[in-house]
Amino acid sequence: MPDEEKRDIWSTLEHIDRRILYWILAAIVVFTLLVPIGLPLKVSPRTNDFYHVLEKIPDGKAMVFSIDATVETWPENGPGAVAIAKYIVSRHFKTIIWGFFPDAALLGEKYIVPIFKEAGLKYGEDYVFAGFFPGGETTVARLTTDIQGVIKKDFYGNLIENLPMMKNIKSAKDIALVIDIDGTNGTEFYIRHWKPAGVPVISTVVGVIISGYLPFLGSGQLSGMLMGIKGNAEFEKLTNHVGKGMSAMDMLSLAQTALIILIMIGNIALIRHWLRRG
Amino acid sequence: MSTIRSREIALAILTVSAVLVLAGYYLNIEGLKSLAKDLQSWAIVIAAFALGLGAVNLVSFHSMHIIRRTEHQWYLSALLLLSFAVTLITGLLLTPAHPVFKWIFAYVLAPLALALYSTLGFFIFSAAYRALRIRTYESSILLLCALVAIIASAPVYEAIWSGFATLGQWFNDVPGTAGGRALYLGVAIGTVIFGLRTIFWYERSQLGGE
Amino acid sequence: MNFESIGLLLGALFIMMVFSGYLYKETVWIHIAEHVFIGTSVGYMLVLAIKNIVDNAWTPLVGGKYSYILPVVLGLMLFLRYSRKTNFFSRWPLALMIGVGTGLAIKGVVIAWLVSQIQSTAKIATTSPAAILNSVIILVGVVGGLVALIETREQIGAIRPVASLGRTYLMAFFGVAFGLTVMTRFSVLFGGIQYILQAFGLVK
Repeated sequence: MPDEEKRDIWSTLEHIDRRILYWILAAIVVFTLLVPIGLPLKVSPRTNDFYHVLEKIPDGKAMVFSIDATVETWPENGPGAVAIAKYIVSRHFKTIIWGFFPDAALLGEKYIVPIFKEAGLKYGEDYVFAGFFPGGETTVARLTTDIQGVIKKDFYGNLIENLPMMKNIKSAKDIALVIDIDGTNGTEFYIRHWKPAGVPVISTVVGVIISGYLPFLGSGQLSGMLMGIKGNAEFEKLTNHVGKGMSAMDMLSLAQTALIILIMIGNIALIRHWLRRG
Repeated sequence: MSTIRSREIALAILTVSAVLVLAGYYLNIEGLKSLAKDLQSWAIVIAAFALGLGAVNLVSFHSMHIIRRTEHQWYLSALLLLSFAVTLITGLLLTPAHPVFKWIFAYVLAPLALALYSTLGFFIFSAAYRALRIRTYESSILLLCALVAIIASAPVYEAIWSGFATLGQWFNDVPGTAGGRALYLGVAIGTVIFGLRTIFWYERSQLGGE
Repeated sequence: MNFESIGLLLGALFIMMVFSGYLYKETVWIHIAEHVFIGTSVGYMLVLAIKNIVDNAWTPLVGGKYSYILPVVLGLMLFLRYSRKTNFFSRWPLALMIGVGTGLAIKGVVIAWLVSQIQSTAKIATTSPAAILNSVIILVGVVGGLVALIETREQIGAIRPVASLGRTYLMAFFGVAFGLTVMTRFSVLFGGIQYILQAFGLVK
């Protein structure tokens, strides 16, 4: 039999049915859910920096909590969003919650608004939930100069101008910070329009768009960033609001270890193939 | 009539809107700023109407399949239109804040969206295995940086040796940032040039031209 | 059994239908899940769009702010594309949206991308030797990357090593981006499987 046709373990591994790989990954995820190991987690300097930005804002200031995540990205963004919301309620900030993707309306209502309610905060005085607005960047840009011109009613149908908190909040000048829960590149809109208006922007972003924001972090246009599910879990640990982020850390460690092993197997098989061919 | 039908009117609207938005920002004239704000508000309203266009296209495409009884498709199209109708009617008659509409979002739309996006986890696992190989110089750089990022983002390795996190952060902050900045600058230059070409009518493809 | 429990089980069923197409083989179940998803999501987005139009255009219009007639009319003109005699009118609202978007893009990109990124790249940090070295590495990478991207003609002479170095940096960026993307994909898969196990009461 010619060399090319001989199938050893390495050739078999190189041409493995992808469904076996899928099952390996699924098994790792199920195992870590059913048997929590509690692998260690250290809080990174980047998460500390994010926290310090929040810490520096004086109590009682107004801030924007923008939900630009979707249901698909919520498993990664959500834990951080919840932990940040819990931190906000402890600091008595005046918070406007809104978003520019359709899912923002119901994600906000299901996961974020209850945190404010349970903390005993008064709707209309301590927080306002404005829901979702189409128009993406155009809407974000417009809000810097005329918040009440864009948002006429909140999610529940109340006129914005009648809510006590909104009497002193008309434009970006009245906002101390923008926190963006970003699964869809929404932070970039804030960097382009709100940061030039003098409002610092911090964001929890999903892994797939982190690298796109690194240049903005380096230039100071983005004041802080939680990086993916790991950053979210670190923030939970830092603020003692342990939740779903921490529970995903075992999975992340084991799944990525499996991936590293597979990549090495693939490359060893390739090197062996080269050496055989001489 | 041919003047009204010509593409030049649409292009003129495009140019005027773009110039007004830019002028409203760069020039400190109150009237211009107000006009730019109004234009942006109008664009937001029109964007909401544009979503309706997508819905009309969807309904007509799938209705055609049902009418023609397309094999292996017509019953799926019927299911799609039924889901669309139920969601739309519930939302319009009962409002988006109603528990029934929220139920549809939470237990139909959300799990389906989650499931379809989750499958990318499987794909990336198998794609990384097959694609991250040291075939060429560039692919080796890609592999090295990907491995560093993967190791740095796995919490257990940072706990074993803090150097992994430091190395990962260096790769993010230096070569990663440099490459990203180069890309951003290239895209920025391209965006400005394309925008100016659109304003001066050299690019007409967005309005159905060549 | 209440509506929430029924909903959780229905959601879990939908997720399993999708996963079966990848863990086993493509069957009609995954197509059913896909079509239900498309129908529901378009219906959902349309409901929110209509609510937005009513709240932000129609209500002010009937309340006496007659300037809002223009965006409402322009929005309705989009639907004229379905008739051959009138479809040229549908280009006008499209042109307005594209024009506003173009203006905003240029405005945003010039400040946030061009000016700020060039300023940060040109600034050499002098706090420590490591900071100086990092700044120089970034400067070299940005210049090289730009040469690699912009110089699309045949790369000869001095351009070639600079472009090659630039491509190295671009590959570094893509590698880092890929490595971080893995984290997202695994997190979402974790969320999907967690949903199934929660629905069956196997995890909290």
